[in-house]
Amino acid sequence: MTAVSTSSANKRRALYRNLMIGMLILVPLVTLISRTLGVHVHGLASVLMVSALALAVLQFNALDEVAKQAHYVAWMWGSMVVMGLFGVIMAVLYALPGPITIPVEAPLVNLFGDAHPDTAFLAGFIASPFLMTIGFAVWWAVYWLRRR
Amino acid sequence: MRNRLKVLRAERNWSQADLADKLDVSRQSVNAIETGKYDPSLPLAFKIAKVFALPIEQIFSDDELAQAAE
Repeated sequence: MTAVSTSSANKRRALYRNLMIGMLILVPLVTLISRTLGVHVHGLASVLMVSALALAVLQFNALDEVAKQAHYVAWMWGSMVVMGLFGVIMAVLYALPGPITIPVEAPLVNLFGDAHPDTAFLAGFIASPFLMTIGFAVWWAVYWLRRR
Repeated sequence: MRNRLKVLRAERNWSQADLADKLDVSRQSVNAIETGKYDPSLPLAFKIAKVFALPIEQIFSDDELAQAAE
């Protein structure tokens, strides 16, 4: 049998994947350390985020066509379905009489304290892309695992 | 679409990983194509044909045509 010598494209993919995993660990780790020690690391965090963005572009371009297809399908269905559901939930909440109560609000307030209205608005603003990312990840995992 | 990747690979005693390296794709992608869960693009189909040194139609066939032939 021919010995497996990983091609340069597959080596590059593995390198980008490992760097991405490293970045995914590093970003929350730096944030956690800065919060624990009370040190401001905005500059470092910004550099890490921009690096992660550049790395994501490189990694996506290095993927083969099946993996890219998995990303397209996951974006189309996973993210869009979740965004739609999020919109429906928000519409229902606004349509209900009385003040809007969100089930996760109480535990979040217990954990982080009462937020400034601007912070609350910002949190609501980023909730949609956050949920879309979860939808994307779930759909991607299902698509990819079924084709392994 | 049907394909003969598994047979052709076995004839050459190549593993999925061997073929994946020759095609510059992941082993998972070879498996997806081999099991008919993903139809390759035309450039990749040509690359597969080149690796096996065969015309594309000897590797891939249309499902309906193959059923009609049977």
